[in-house]
Formats: sequence, C-alpha cells, structure tokens
Amino acid sequence: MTEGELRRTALVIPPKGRAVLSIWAAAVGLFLAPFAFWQGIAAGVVFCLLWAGLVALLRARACSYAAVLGAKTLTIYVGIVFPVRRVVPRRAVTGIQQLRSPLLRLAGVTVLVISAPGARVLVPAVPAAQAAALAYALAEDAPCR
Amino acid sequence: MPMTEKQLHPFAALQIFRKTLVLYLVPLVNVLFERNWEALRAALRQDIVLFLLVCGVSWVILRASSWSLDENGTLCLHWKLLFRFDRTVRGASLAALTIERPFYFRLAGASRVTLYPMGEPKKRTLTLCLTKGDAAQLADQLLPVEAPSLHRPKGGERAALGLLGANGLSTLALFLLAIRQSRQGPDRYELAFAQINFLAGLAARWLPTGAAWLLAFAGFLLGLSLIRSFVQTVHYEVWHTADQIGSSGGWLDRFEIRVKTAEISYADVRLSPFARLLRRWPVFVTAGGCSPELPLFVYRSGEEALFRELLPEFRMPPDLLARTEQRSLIFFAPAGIPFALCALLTLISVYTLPSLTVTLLFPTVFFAAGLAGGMMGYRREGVWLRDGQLTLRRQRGIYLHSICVFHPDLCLTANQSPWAANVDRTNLTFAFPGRVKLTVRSVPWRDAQKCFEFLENPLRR
Repeated sequence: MTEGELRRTALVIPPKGRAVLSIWAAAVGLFLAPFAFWQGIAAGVVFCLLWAGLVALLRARACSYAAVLGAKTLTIYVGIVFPVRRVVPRRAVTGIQQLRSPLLRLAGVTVLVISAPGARVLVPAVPAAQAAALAYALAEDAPCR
Repeated sequence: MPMTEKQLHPFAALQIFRKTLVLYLVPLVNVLFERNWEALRAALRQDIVLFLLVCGVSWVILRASSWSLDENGTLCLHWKLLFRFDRTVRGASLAALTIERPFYFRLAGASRVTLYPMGEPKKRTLTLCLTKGDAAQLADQLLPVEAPSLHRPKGGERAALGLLGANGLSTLALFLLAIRQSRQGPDRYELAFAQINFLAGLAARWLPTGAAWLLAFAGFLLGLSLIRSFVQTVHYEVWHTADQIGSSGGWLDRFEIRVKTAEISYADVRLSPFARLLRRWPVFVTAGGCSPELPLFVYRSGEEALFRELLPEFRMPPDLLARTEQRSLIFFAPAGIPFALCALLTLISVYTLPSLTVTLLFPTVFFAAGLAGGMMGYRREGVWLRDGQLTLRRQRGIYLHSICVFHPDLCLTANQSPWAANVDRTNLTFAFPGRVKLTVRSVPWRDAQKCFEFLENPLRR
C-alpha cells in the first residue's frame, strides 16, 4: 500500500480487531473477577455486569475510531457521545512501535504506538498492511535528532 | 583525549536527606502511643542511627558518582559501584539550562545546575550539584554565550516592591484582627454557651482566634515568598545572542537561565490585577520540559521595543472579548463553589458566632476575587491566529495568560462533552515538547477548526 492510497482512505478498526480488543478487556475482567467473588456472590455478579458494560462501551468506542493521514498531520477521531479529535504533526513523530501478538496476527491486525515529543498516540488493532504503510510514511518524516 | 572525571559537590547529598526526612518520623510514631520520656529517648536514638545510615549512604553515592565533559560539549555522568552506568547528554540536544545558587549554596560555594533536554518530559531533566566554577564551565561548554546584547529592565523591582507593600499592609491587618480576637476574654462566652455542650463551647471560644491567627500566618508566609521574589529581581539582567535568550540576577539567591531560541515552546505574558495597576508585564518562556515556566523579564508599558528585540516573533492575542453565547459555566466552578460556601458561613456566623464574621470575610473576599478571575476567563479565554502565529489567552486564578506559540512540533486535542458538542464548542489542549500541556476551555468549534487547518497548512514552517 502506497502513501497516496493510504491518504485516500481512513484507518478504521475492523470487526476482528474490535473482537481482539474486547477479548483483551474481558481477560482483565476475568483475572479480577475471582477477587470480587471472594467478597460474595452478589459482589461478583455486580462486578461482572459492570465489567461487561465497560467492555461493551469499549467496543462501541472502537467502532468510531478512525486515523487519517494528511499531508502534514496524522489525525485521530474517536467517540461519538464524547468525541475526541487529536492531531499530531508528521514531522514531530520521533518513534513508532508496532505490536503483533499471536491473537493480533490471527486477526490480521497490528497495534501502533506513535511517539512525539508532546504526546503518545495509540492506533489500536488496524489492518496490518495499512499499519505497516502508516509506520513507513511516518518514519520517513521522523526528524533525525 | 581522555576526559577528567570530577566529583559532585557534597551538597548533592542534601537531596537524599530531603527525600529521607519522612524516615525519621517512623520511630516517633511509637511515642504517640507510649507517651513517656523513655519512648522519646528510644525514638531519638533510632533517629540518630537512621541519620548516620543516611549519611553513610550519601557518602557512598557521592563517592560512586562523577561527571566529565569533553571538548565537543558532551556531558557524561558516571556511576561506578557494583556495576557501571554512564549517561551522556550532548550540549546540542539541550533546550534550556538553569543555574541556581540559593544563599546557603553560595556560602558553601555550590551551584545547582538543571539541564532540560529537547522534547524530554520533566522527569527526564537532569539536576547536578557542582562547585561554582564547575557549574560555570559546564554551562559555557554546553550552551556557550557568544556576543550577548545585555539589557537591564527596571520593571521587575518596582512590581515586586508594590506586591510586597500590599502584602505587608494586608498581613498587618490580619495580625491586628488576630490580636483583637485573642484579647476577647472567655467570660463573654461563658454566659452564652453555658447551656450547650463542652466541645461546642470550646469551638466557639477558640475557633475565631485560631482562624484569625491561621490567616495571619498564611499572610506572613506569602510575605516571605514575596520578599524572596523581590530579592531575585535585584541586579537583574536579560540578554540575547543569535540563538539564545537568557536572564540572570538575584541578590541573596542568584540564578541564571539560558534558553535556545529555536526550542522555546511558547512565551507567556502574565496579566494580574497588580500588573495592570503598576503597568508592568512579566514574561515567561518554556522550552523542553520546563514546568513551571522560566521567568525571563518584566517590561513596562512603553518599553515594548525591548520585548520586540528579545522575542521578535511574539504576537499578543487580539484584545477582543470572546464569544460567550452558550459558553460553558465551568469557568466559575473552581472559585464559585468555595465562594458560595464561605458566603453562606459568613451569613450564618452573623447570627450564631459574630466574632468569627470578620475572619470569615477574608476567605470570602479571596474567593470573590477568584470568581472575578473566572468571569475574566469566561469573557476573554480563547484561541486566535495572528500573522501566522497561534496565540491563545487562558485564565488561571486571577491571572490572565497571553500566550504565543513558537514551537512547530505541537500536538492538538479537541475534547467535547455531549453538551459542548451540542453547542459547537470544545476544550482545546495544546501539547508541547516535554509533555507540557495547556488547555483552553469551551472555545467555538470553528476557532478550533482553524487551529487544525493551521497545523495542516503546507506553508507553515
């Protein structure tokens, strides 16, 4: 995928990527649940319901995620009820980390962590080809310091 | 060429002593339960042992740490005990440097040097305690000052003196109030509170006096900090070279600041009621992870030429009132809530405890001033583009910050609540290198959109 193609589209989290994010969030809940059930059955049930709600919210928020590469900036849009728009200048990017776990590889997605002097941006579970192209495009702009 | 390794100044151990102060309180906890001289003696013995232990650890740290500087302006910090650890800092990668010499440091011939690397957050800044000569040599090698243009602005001393005078008067008033409260004898309360319980009686007797003395003490502490500010403005000078800007001064406590012009994230002209009254405007800058901002100079109205010479790219935000239709009322919350509480307490005290009313009026007036500051923010806070520069105005307490953004590596975040989205407003957060963040609240979405477009502008440097 070329930079031109990347700039004509937006990076969104595909259904499989959203499933991986939900599994990660649910795994944390599963780890914590025994401690809640230790306090009592009712506390455990309430905890599980609350955690399920949080996972559903995370999944819903992942649906609205989009990363758009512009000529000079990378813009992240996330959220509908509480919308957030984040802009990082491409020339400010100092580092890109790509994460691929077995589960992410199975889903064909990659997690990108983009570092800039003022901020750190997470691009979660986007298609691997697009993530690689984005990392390449941003690495070309990264200043040599 | 081999580099000569030098030791840190023994005052570097002060930092270790300061961090371990709380350790000495641990043995004293037992005294609270035992409440006898034997327990106190045992606790003091344990404290002495702890102190000796900390002294030993400090000595080992001082012996194991050293620093060296090569001719290319590269500083290397060494740790040589059990394992070897070296940290290298290049002078070219520094955004700013400060040298502080508090009075007690000067007595011991020590200087505290703080290095701010480019783009690194505050926790990655490097603080060294060196001898005076070593500190000057290090600063000259890392950020050499070549052919500086010197200026001695006079605005700061008058402003600091004005503040000091005002504080002196207010503290005197608070002391008089506290003495008056203390003189009121207990007999006048005995009759009134004979029928209520002991605790309420005690509170009624001592609360007004205690609160008055507490206020007087707070005013006194503020006065001390203002005296410190004043002695810092004596012998003050500001200079600039082709690629640096800096200031130095101080009478008892000396300081020096050197900032690379290209690494300045933003400059901030801070307006306070006193600054308006005296028509003297303090200018602060930040570079790298400097937080809070570094005070650069104070200029008088009519001396803008000096300001333009030192910071030629600075643009003041336009002197406009912000659009307030459907603006969030969050500006009034921080001071408004305590103001309402204090005003309510003052009203209640008029009927129940009249001797406390005057004392309560002070925090009420204080929060009323904060509320006035909130009103100023509500009407003035905003973001504008001027001559290709991003400018913003934000309110904190009674201060109005007029800021001009210099650094091109700026990240922007717009956060909207459902209510803000409904009225097309947003909170706009500017993230600068060094993770320094500034938030402008409840700006119109179209103004935020202009900022996003500005970042995407291909003609921007």
